[in-house]
Formats: sequence, C-alpha cells, structure tokens
Amino acid sequence: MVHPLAAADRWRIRRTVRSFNNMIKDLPGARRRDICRELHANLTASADDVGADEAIRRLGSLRHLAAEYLDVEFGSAPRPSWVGGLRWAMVLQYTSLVVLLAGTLSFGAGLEAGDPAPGTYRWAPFGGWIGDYREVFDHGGYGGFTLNVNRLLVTHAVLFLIVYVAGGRLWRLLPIRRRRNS
Amino acid sequence: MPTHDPQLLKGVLSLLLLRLLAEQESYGYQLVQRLRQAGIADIAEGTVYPALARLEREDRVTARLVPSRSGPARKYYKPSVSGYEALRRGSRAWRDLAGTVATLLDAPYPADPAPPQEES
Repeated sequence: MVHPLAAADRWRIRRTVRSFNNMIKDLPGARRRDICRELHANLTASADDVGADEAIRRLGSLRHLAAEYLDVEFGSAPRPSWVGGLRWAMVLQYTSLVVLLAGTLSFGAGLEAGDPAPGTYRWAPFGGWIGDYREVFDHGGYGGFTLNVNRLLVTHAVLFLIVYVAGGRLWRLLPIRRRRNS
Repeated sequence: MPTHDPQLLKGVLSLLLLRLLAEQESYGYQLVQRLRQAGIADIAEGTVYPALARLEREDRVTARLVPSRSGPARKYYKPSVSGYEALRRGSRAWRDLAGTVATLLDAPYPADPAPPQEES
C-alpha cells in the first residue's frame, strides 16, 4: 500500500531525524551526516509503505538506536564526548576564577589589616602563571591595583585544552584508537 | 505468525543480512521488508539499521547511493569479498550449531529430572 506523504508527514520525519542527529553528536561530522541521510531515506520509504506515524513508531526508541550506532563506532569502551570535555573545561575555568578572586581579595584584605608602608605589594603564585596582582599603597593609603593577565591567559588556554581533551576522552577519536576499539 | 526471541535473532541477524544481500543488493528498509516476508515478522527497523552499519564498519559490505524519486537517495548494500567469506563460515557454523541444538532438544527427557549422582 502506498501512502502519499503530506507536508506534515515530511516535517515529522525531518523532526525525528533532527532529534536523532542531536543524540549522535559525538560521532564525527561526516559519519553523522551519512547516518542521518540514510535514516531519512529509510523512514521516507517506510512512511510510503505504512504511513509516517507508523513508520516513526516502528523505528522504536531513538535513544536506543543512537546508542547502537555509537556502539558500532566506538565499541563498548568509554566514549569520547565533546560536551563532556567542554563541561570539565568550564568547571576548571570557573574554579580557577574563584581561586584567583579569593586569592586577590585575601591578599588585599591581609595587606590592609597590616597597615602597610607605602610601596607596591605583589601576589604572583607560581611565578605569575596563575595571576600577577599588585596593590599600591602611598602616603594617603590605598592607591589602586593592577592585574597582569598575559601569563594568566596562556595558563588558562593550556589548562583548558588539556582538561577538554582529558575530560572528553577525545584521544579516542584518533583513527588508530577507533580501529583498536572496534 | 510466531514471535522470535530477540536474543536468538541478535546472534544471527548479521548472517541473515549478508545472505539476503548476496541474493539482491538492497537498502535498509527493503531488508526489513524482506526479513518480514521471510517470516521474521517482529524485526524492528531499529535493530536492522545499526546491524548494517556494523557490517559496513567491519568491511563486510560495500555501499553506494542511488537517487530515489520518492525522497532522499537510498544507500544500497552488497557483500564484499570478506562478507562472502563471513557468510560461508557463518552458514557452516550455524548449521553445525543448529544440528547440535536440535539433537539435544529433540532427545526425550523424563517428567522429573534425575537426582545428582554422588561423587565416589
């Protein structure tokens, strides 16, 4: 039996494929597009046969289908995850900013409590690679602060990259690792 | 039509797909239809499509896109050289296993199982 597809049917099929596409985002782009294109073609053929609603129902759980495709690509070993890597990297960023803020505030509070002599006072842990913060005191009291971020930015960029790759297990995307795991 | 244990089917699905593809180059949904016509009525599309992807990943099938009048281009599969070899080996292994299982299952058994034999 042929079921001519209405615009609403085609839209429902496209929406199903889009939802599925979001569930396999950890697959390499070209492979993901190939799988989604194939699913679209198969769903359309099935819908021609039994109608769009039944075709989508017969597909079963999209999550289960996505898990099966991810299993084919990455095997049963822990999978790489772009989103997971980003999550860990953002945690690192927020934590380091909180530590930097706490450090500078504590340093400043400690200085002021000690009634410092006029001069420039510097807090630069790890040679300034975590932060290079200076407070100036003159005869009138507190004279302002400076924060040198050049080295800090380099440190953050390097740590971000390391945590992103480690947290997302992105080394598993290397072709030789994927072949070993298959 | 009898339903089939999904676990039993899972073990033999790749073999069935290779066999059907050896007969005729097909795309995913077409294979689902052919399996249903062969008597596996409760096969789900969500089982067949990843199985095809696995066969392609293992280089047991090759694929090509063929334009379709009714929608997106369809991906047609056929067995590769190693796919034909896997089909031959798998068919032989299945026949051996099926023969052994049939012999065991067809053997008569009593109403109550015999008690364990004491170790001497």
